[in-house]
Amino acid sequence: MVWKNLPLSFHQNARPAALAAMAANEQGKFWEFHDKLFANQKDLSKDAYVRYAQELGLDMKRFQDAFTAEKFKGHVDADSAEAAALGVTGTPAFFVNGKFLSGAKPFEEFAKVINAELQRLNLPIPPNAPKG
Amino acid sequence: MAKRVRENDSEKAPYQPRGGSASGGNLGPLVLAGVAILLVLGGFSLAEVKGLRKELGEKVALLENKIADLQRKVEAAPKAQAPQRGPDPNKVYTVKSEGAPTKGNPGAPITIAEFSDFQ
Repeated sequence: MVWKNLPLSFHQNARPAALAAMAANEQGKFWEFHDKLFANQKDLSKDAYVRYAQELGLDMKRFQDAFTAEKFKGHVDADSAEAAALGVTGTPAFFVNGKFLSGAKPFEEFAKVINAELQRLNLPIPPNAPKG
Repeated sequence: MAKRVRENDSEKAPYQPRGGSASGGNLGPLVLAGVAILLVLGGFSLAEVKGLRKELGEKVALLENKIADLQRKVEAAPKAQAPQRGPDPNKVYTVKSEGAPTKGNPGAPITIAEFSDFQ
């Protein structure tokens, strides 16, 4: 699973949230921070990011410095530029082994593509794998 | 003509020779004239049908030309830009993963890249 940042311009909190999450990533806590952001989507503010960082036991000075200085601006911008180059304009957008799946698709859609990929790679589909 | 026909009717089967050679001799030229008139009329209507057909054919050809013209114009017109519907689902793309947050076995046969945001 690879996370690519695509903060949409009309999601005004998405960009600072991406920068905060990348600051957490620097300390190895991206997914934990990601989960907190998703669990509290109504509370996307600098105070909230600081609180989540504290809850995750991050080095607070390092986190705050990175966030304030927009240390990972280049990374977030590069992700967005890559999305644009691929033609991705909305979120979420998925690439399963490079195959595009747009939007929040039902789980079965993913299962279908994943099983087809396993088949293509001559790999066994686990017997208990969900069918697409 | 109608009168003549009625007369014929009253005579009952004038074409059957019944001795009355006088009436039969009278009818001969009349029948011939009738046939001639029919032929002429038929000829006219045939010519008329032919003329109509020709006219229709010309009109259809004109319409066909116009349609062909329009078709050429449509084909020559700049193609309306298809709305961007995102990446082609039948293509395989490369998504960079260097420096990106990842989860799971890096050597897994399936890699899912997710472009997303938090809002």
